[in-house]
Formats: sequence, structure tokens, C-alpha cells
Amino acid sequence: MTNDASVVAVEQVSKRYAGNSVQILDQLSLRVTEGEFLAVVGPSGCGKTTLLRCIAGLLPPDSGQVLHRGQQLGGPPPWLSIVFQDYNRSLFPWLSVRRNVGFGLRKLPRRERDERVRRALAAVNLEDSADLYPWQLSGGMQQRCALARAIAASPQVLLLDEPFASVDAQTRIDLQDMVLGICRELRLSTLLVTHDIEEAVFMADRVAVLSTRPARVVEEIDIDLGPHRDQLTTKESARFLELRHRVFTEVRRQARPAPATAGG
Amino acid sequence: MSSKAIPTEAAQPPYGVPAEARSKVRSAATGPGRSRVPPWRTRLWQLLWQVGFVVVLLAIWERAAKTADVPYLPPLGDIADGYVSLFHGELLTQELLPSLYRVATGFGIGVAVGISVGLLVGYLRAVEPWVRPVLEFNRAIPVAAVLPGALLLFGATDTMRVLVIAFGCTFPVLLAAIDGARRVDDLMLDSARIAGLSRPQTMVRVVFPAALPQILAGVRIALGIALIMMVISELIAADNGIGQYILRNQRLFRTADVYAGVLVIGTVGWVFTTAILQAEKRMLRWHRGWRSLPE
Amino acid sequence: MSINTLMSLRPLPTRTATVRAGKGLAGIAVAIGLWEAIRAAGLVDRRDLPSMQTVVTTAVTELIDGPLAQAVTASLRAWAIGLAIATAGGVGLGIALGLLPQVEVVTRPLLEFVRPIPSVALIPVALIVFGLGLRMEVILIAFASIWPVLFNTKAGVESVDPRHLETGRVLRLSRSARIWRIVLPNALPAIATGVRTAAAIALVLAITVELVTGQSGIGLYLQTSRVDGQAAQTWAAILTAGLLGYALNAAFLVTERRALSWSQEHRVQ
Repeated sequence: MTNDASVVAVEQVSKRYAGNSVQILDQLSLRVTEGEFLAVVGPSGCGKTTLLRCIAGLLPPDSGQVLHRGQQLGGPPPWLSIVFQDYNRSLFPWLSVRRNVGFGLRKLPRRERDERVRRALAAVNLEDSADLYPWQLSGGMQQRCALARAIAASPQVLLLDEPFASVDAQTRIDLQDMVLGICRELRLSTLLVTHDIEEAVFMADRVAVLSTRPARVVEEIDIDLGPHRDQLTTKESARFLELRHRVFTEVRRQARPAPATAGG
Repeated sequence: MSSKAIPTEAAQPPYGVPAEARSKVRSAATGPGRSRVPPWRTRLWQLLWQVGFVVVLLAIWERAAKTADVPYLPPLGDIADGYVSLFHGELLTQELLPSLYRVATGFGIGVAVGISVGLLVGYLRAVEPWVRPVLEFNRAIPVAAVLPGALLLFGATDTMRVLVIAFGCTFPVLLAAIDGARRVDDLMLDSARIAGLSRPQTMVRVVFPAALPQILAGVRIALGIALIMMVISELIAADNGIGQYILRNQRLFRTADVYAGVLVIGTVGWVFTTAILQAEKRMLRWHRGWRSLPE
Repeated sequence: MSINTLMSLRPLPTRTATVRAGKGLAGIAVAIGLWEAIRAAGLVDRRDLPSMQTVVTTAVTELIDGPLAQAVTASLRAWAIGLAIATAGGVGLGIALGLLPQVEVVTRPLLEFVRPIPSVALIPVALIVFGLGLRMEVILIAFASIWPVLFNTKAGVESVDPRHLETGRVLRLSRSARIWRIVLPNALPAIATGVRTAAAIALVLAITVELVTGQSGIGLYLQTSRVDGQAAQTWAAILTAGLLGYALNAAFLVTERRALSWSQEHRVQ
């Protein structure tokens, strides 16, 4: 039975790619509850992105189901937004920043659309660059543009697919804080897929660890570091180090070649 | 500096040189490998040399026209007169304008059909393997050969000429649009889906702009073909039009007017090509920036 | 099957290739069906649009028995000679212009002036200068086809990495050796594309000249059949011309990919 508080429920989802004998996901179950920040980590290539695409409604699972607020939908729900890792492949290069951010808002009346765009740009600090084109921006700014586009749609659920992997370390820190701030302020339910374990522990309320392919959830760890996270103090705290150690060990255990499993 | 300017199939118009290489040409004027824009003094010298070269050629022509007694070297003055006269009065309305109408209409229809069908086929991936051989075959037919068939079916009418021009223009644009549509990044399509766009909306708002570089390359090719087909359709079965004009004058041994007509066709070609290039430059500014290509 | 599938050096999984080919053939069948449907619907005079079967059988008989085969041979002869001249001239001039920037600058207005003129418009001029005959046809074909070769060669030469040239100088290669062994191979992919383009233009010119002036070849065959009202022969010739164009293009592509597999575009990933 679906927990009423879960905004996205992944139930026994299996997926393999057409024409392949490789099983990517194997009866994977996961829940994102209302308002929580969930991070998903796992060894490289374990299928995190595939899982995210199933959750987004972009990829139908072979078996099992993905429920959005208890319902099975045919495609991406309107209250769900996603930020991809490759911003220069998902932002539209022929549109300015402003137009990119307002892309999905055509159906709204002009004034409301402009207002939403303005607020989204303010939230990511891109108001001054609103009329520039993506290629004129730095990597971090482009990702902020992608973020603004995601939140301009007033989503309830935000998916992030390794969003900071393509930017430099300094920018990554700033973006992490920005995303955390936005998620708290807009009260979003967030799912972050990342290979950076520190990032996962720092940002999330809960961390789910995936096994290698075929992937399933092997552990879920509650991150009880409190709602206020600081790049410096939180990351120095004993509890953070404990949790980080725990997640790290678990991921590493998964990354080590497992004995051959039957089936899959 | 040595970015690859070698033309690739998709972006390369067979009748010309890709934009990247063209800009390299300008900067290579000071020598291969150097890319600085020549300062105004060099530019002036270049201009002088160019003008001088042309003047010398014209002088040779004029001299030969006066001394040699061959029919194919009319005096430049006669050619100039003939050229100007085609832009006035009766000649304008009876010869030039009908040609312009045909080429513009045929080109317009061909490009419109090519883009719409091409984007559709490219976007709906499943359709592509079914239609590709037929499309490639139609593209491979030497366009001149189509004319007798069209004459059989439609007679020597303007409809026939416009259709023949449209036929020649459609397939390069169509195949280019398919290619462009197929290259659209999946992430962009996903972003459109997440943003709630329907398939038709995605095709218009995402696939079309993303495919524009390839489409415009195909359009450039189509323009060349349009002019060729305009001339061919008027050389063979027409009672007016520039192509017919030059053939008629050739039969009447009015050589100067033949050259004049050819120059007018060249002018029309140049005007249209420049227009397309300018439009392309403006429409693809984002593409050049995105791909870090030179202006 | 698309040319791309045909030409790929990478071995495709056989099943996929077969499926693709099957779909392509089905598409051709549908196109033929459309032809017959237009015929049946009476949109055009049925005598002018014979059934595809008639067209194909006519093509086969005409090709085996004589007139169409002779026409094809005649066209190809003019085409080949004209293309050869254009290639030699275009490559030579292209290299010269690419390596002598001063000459390139001075001649640029002239070239840019001649470029937009569709070569078919020069048929009347060629008639004045050369009269009728094979010589006129070949010269016109050569003139029309030289431009893609020239401009592509020039672009290819200009894109040679200056470091490669410097290496040649350091190795004390003579000027001609540098051209032959460094510039030319570097420009070869561009030249190949230019020649392939020129081949298509040459074929169009050949047929057009034959259509307009009555020079023997496919164009003359088309003209005579049409004027005599022989629709089947006309369409058979169009079909043959299409197949010829397709085959020539494919042949060039295959040669390119085999000979130039080292170059950027043809490298198998």
C-alpha cells in the first residue's frame, strides 16, 4: 500500500534496455516523502540516471510501477521538474536565458509568466544575465539557468541528475547552497542523484544507497544533521563524518565485484 | 588556430564552400595560418589590385572586340546596354519578372514542403527507414531529366515550370531537415517533455530551431538548383523568361544580348544568394556562439 | 537502403540491416503504389503516365537492345571527359590559389562574379563560341564542374595545419615535395567532396546540353521520345538517369570512405 505522505513511490521497478541482456534495475523500491530531500548514491554506472528517468516519467519501467501521488501517470507530471547534468545539452541555445526559463510557461497569461521568470531568475541570481544566451555564460551560470527553468514551473518535486558534476569545485559549493536554500524556501520534495558522497550527506535528509547493476536499494540512511547546513561547520562535525563514513563504506562494499548472481 | 575547415557532408553545400571555410578565406588572405583581419591600408591595396585586374581583363576584351572579327566578342558597351535594358519596361515585365516569379514560387514551395516533411520524418524516427530510399533516389535524379516528364504530364505551362523547380528544391531541403531533426539532442527533447510540450509543439519549438543549421545548408543547395531549373525550364519549353531570352538572342545572333541575359541571371543568383547568406547569418548567430565558430 | 548504411565500414548487426532494407523496399513499393494510384485516379492523361511495369520493361529492353544504352554511353563519355578536365584544372587552380594568397585576393572578385551564374545559362554562349558538337558539350561540362572542385580544393589547402607545413620545411622538403606529400593528402577529403559534387553537376549539364542542342546522349533520347509521344521510353530514360545518378554518387562515396578512412569524417568510432 502506498504511504499517503509519499509524493513519489517507486515500487518493484525493473528495467533493462531494449536489445540488451543487461538488467539495469531489478525490483527497485524507493519512496520520496513530502518535503524531504533524498539523495541517491551508488557505484559508477549502477543505473542511477535510469532510475531518475523512470521517476521523471520519461522512461516506462518493464515491470513494477512508479506512482506520482499514488497515481500512475503516462508521462512526466506537470508538477515535476528536472535539472540535468549536461546543461549545454538541455538548455536551448537559440533562446536567451529569460526565454529558456520561461519556456514551459507559454500557457500562462503574459504577466504571470514574466513574474514567475523574474522570481526564478532572482532566486538563482541571474537577473543581470537574463538577456544573454547560454553560450555566453559560464558553466555555473548555465546550470543556474537550468535550475531557474526548473523552478519557474512551480514544481512540487525537483529531480537533480548529478547537477554539479560538470562545474568546478568552487562553483559546486555555491550551487549546493543555492539549491538547498531554494528547496527549503519553496518546500520542494527533492531527489538528488549524485556520485559525490559528501555532497549527498551534506545536502540530504536521507540517503539511499544502490547496489551495482542490477540495481536495488541496499540501504537507506537517515541524515540527522538538522535543517541548517553550513559548508564549513557541518562538514567538520563529528556526526557528519560518521554518516559520511557509513555511506562511503556501504557504497564501496557495493562497488566491489559481487559473486555472480543467478538470473538478471 | 587551425580549426578543421574541411567540409562535412551534412553542412556542405555542393555548390559552394561552408561558412567556416569562407571566413578562413578572408583571414587567410595574409597567408595560411594567420588569422588577423588586414588593416585598412592592406585592404585598400587589395582593392586596387582587384579593380586593376578587372580593368585589365575588360580592356583586353574591348580590344579584342574591336580588332578580332569573331561573333562571340561583342563590345562591352553593347553588353552593358543590353543588361540595363532588361531591367526596364517591356523586357522587364515580359522576360525578367516571369522568371523571378517562377523561381521564387518554386523555391518557396520546395523549401516549405522540404522542411515540414523532413522535420516530421526526422522527428518520428520510425518512419525514416521506410522513406529513405525513395527520397534518396529522387534526390539523385539529375534534375534536368525531370523536365521531359513534367512536360508530358503538364504541358508547357507555368505550373509545370514551378513544379519542376519545386521538385528540384524539395529533396535537398527534405534530407537536410531529416538529418537536422535526427541530431537534436535527446536531453533537449526530454526537457521539452518535462516542460509539458506536446509532440507537435516540440516539433515546432524545439526540433525546428535545433535543426536550423542543417536546414539552411540544404536551403542554400536548393537555391542553386532553383536557378538551374528556372533556366532549363525556360531553355526548352517557354515563350518568355530569361532563359528563353538568351536562347532566342543566340538564334538571332544578337550576341551582346546573350551575354547581357547571362549577366542578369548571374545578378539574380547573386542577389538571392546574398539574401540567404545574410538571413542565415542572423538566424544562426546563436549557433556560431554555441559552437564557438568564427563570425 | 540508404547510402549511409551501404557505405558504413562498421559491420552492422545483420538483423538490423536486413530489417532496414526490408522497410526501404516496402517504402519503394508504396511509392510505386502511389504512382499507380495517380494513374488510376486520372489526374493526368494515362497515356502520359504508363504503369511502372511498362516503364521498367521498356527500360530493360531499351538498355539491352540499344538506343538507351547508346545514349547512356554517349552521355557518360562527355561526362567523364568533362569531369576529368574539371578535376585536373580545379585541383591545380585550387592548390595554386590556396598557396598563393596574393593571387587569390586579386582574382577573388572575378571568381565571385562567375560563381553565381548557373552554368546551364551558358549553353547559348557555348553555342556561339563553339557551335554544336561534343567539344562544346565537354567544355561546358568542364566549366560547370570546375567550381566545386576549385573551391573545395582551395578550402582544403587553406585548412592545412601550418605546423605540418613547418615540419616539412624543417625536414628540408622541396616546395613541390611539400605540396605533394603534405598539402595534397591534407586537402584530399575536401577535394573528394568537391569532385563528388562536380560529378553530379556534370551529369546535369550533360543531359541539359543534350536536351537543348540535340547532342547525342540521354538528353537527346529524352527529347526525342517526348516529342514523339513515347511516354514509356521517356519515363524509362528518367528512371535510368536517376539510377545512374544514384550509382555514381554511391560509387564516389564508397571510394571516398575506403580511400580516406583515416580522415576525420570517415573515421570509424
